[in-house]
Amino acid sequence: MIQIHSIGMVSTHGRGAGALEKAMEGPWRPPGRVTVPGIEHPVPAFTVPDEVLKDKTVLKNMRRADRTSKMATIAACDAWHKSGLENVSPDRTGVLVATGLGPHVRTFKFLNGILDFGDASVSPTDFSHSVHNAAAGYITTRLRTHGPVQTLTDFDFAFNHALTVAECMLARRRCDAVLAGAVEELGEVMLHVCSRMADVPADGRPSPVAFSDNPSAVPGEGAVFFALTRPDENAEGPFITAVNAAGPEPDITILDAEGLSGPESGYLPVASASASVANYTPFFGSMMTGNAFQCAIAAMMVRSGRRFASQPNAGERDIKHCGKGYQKAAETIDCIKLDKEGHKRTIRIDKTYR
Amino acid sequence: MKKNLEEIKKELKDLLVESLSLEDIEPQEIGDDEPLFEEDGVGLDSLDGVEVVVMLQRNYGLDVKDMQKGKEIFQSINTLADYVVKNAGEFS
Amino acid sequence: MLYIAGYRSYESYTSYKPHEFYESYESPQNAMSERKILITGLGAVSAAGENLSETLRTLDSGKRKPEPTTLFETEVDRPVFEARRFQKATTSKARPTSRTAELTLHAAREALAEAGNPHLVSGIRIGVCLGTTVACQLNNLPFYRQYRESGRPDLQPVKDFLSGNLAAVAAAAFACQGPRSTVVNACSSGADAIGTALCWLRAGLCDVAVAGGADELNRVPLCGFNSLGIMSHTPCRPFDRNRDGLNLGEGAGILILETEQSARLRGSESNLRLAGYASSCDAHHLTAPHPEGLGLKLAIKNALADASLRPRDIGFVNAHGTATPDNDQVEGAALKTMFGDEVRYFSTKGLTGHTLGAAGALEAVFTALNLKEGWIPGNAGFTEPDPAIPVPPVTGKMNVNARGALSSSLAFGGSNAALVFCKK
Repeated sequence: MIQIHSIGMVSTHGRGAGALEKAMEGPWRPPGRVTVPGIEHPVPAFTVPDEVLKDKTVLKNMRRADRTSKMATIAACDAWHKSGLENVSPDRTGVLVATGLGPHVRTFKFLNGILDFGDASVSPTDFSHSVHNAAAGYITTRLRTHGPVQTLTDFDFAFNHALTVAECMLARRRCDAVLAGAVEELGEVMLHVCSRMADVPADGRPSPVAFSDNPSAVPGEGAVFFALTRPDENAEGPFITAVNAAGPEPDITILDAEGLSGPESGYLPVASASASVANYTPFFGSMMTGNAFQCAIAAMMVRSGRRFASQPNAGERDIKHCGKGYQKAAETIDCIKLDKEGHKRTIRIDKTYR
Repeated sequence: MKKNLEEIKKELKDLLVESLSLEDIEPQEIGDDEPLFEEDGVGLDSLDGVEVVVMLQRNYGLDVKDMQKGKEIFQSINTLADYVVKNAGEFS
Repeated sequence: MLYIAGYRSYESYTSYKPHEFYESYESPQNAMSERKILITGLGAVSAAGENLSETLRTLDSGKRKPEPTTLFETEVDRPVFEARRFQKATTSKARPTSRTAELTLHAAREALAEAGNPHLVSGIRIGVCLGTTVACQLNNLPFYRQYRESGRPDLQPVKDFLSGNLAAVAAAAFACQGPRSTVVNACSSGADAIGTALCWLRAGLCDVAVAGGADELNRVPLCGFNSLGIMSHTPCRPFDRNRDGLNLGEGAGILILETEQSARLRGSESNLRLAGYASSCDAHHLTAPHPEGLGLKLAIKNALADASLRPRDIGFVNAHGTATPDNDQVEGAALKTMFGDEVRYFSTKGLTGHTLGAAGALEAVFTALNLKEGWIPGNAGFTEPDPAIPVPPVTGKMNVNARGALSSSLAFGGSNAALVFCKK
């Protein structure tokens, strides 16, 4: 179990979890559209506006950095500066970055160099930024942390793995604080791929709780980071249990059915047995590490005692959807994700230490 | 087409700002004699150094293989421009 | 499938009680009896050999022959260390995968066999933690060229990529149901993956872990390292006065890590332990190491503390030693500071090349192997001491009877990692 102190976020709605919260309070709005080579119609996508990434203070000395590094650095620094943990020794502060695709836009830029100028005339700057841990390098340099640092990748469970590592580092007292988070960037190549491999609805509205075997996805990008410590049982929380705990039934079950991990009918039994089902993908877009965003929303809900309405499109099934009208504050929320092989991983967010 | 020294200097400044993604500095603000790789000059670092090698390769067909020699060539816009003028055939 | 009574079920991996997790670390009683983690199997494939016995012979002889690449066409004419003797297994059940994955499975099969094939025992929770740099990138040039030219590329390379997460591929190949993770910390990925597996085992998240790293020689990083101006035209010379850059290589290194309790249940034995790990960050520069080796020294200090060993318990260090001017100078100085004038260290990159995501893992395998065998190789490629490096590396094969040994790794992004090995 780990304790969440603060959250930093960059999403299509701007900087900070508050921007996403505000968007979830109002009516759902469709995302913008991006013209993509090889795709007939502009593709709906939850992109992060450029002006969000123009902070000259946080992004100082990052002239070479790409959007992946910038989004991650802003989210991580915001989480850190709101955490009240600045007194933790830099040697005992860890940084963990989870990502599905990493800085792939930079990789394609580097490949442009090979195709345009040949093998022997490529950009060393593009190459050194195309490694997955470039973002972690920028975060640690900006925050001057010297503790453990790790970037990890998985197409489904990268954020889950990061939380497991965070828990191990904190439990072994290798670190007194850990910044753990996720980052995904959208580029035209992956938008092209997504448009052809997934069902991208023309109206930009994914149907995350439709339990379809041909699920819809509307790609998104962003970064979310959590400042974490060992749990203080008297603290207000919220707390994260990184892996399944045999405990009470959750008040809300968030299904991270983001449309990128194959058939979603496997979520149906979980949903049918749940007191209240939710998914918030339509607010930030489909991402391989989107469960980090779902967890952030869960943490916001247990901390504030309010519920955000889920955005189901298929209401005909016998599923109890999480709605604003239901007033009981949620104290325990599970965020569940299934991969293509049917592996199920759960992250539990708890209001109190138990 | 033949370019004169001043044109090459201007071109090099534009190229530097673009290929090194320099922020808060306009090409014309770089002095011809300003040290490129010193803190109180333009403040470039080792990664910029190898990027300048690629910049010369792509734009002038010049290959700086020896980084020791590179240090002399990359001192300032003046030394860079001299090197380009002396070594890039189409400009000489 | 073999059944051994006493293992917890797979499900218990995901259902421990939150309190137990911290208590297992924090009660003094448990701290005394902390789970010791054994190394019950090793596997390696690289230019130095396609298995452990070949690799040992190469470490012994110091023979090496980097040559221009044969794996792909490139204008970059630099010597590289290809795993020439490596043959992809024809019996591989998995669908066609990347060369990186094939190298991984090859080394993992060797390591699992030495460990007595724990993956064939019912009920053992096996974790998979692997480091890589190439396998995590969609850097398929034919696909991207097609995308640029036609706007309608064949998507099969993307589908292969999306089903090619290295840890997921290995977990599927050996039916491992425990935790899995792919670590992408650039050139320290392999070491960090092994350290992460150590954390899992200590925390009780699995009984056995397949841990290591792999990378194939690939055109894209070859172009990248060339552009950075840090590749040598000759066989590389780590820690030598005239060193002028690295050679790229490829390979995979795998360790089978196991809790003492699990090894006992299986009747498996080993007198080697993975005793400590630490990771740290320079917070200095994306591509250059901290000039004083700040992060590296911190990683070494913390890894020794993690292993409850003193610097004098460390008989030798398998250094990162890439043969770039910066790395070797910073590392040599840091090793002297941490271990004193008598430090025995060497780089094995003169025999394998820099294998990127595999480097930390291959060197972990070599370190464990040398500790077990009681001898260390000379630093291949070293002839002339560098006045800027306070203590020269080991120049020839020598016997070392030590309790412990350490392997260090440095990476882009300022990551550093240290692993400490110990005889039981």
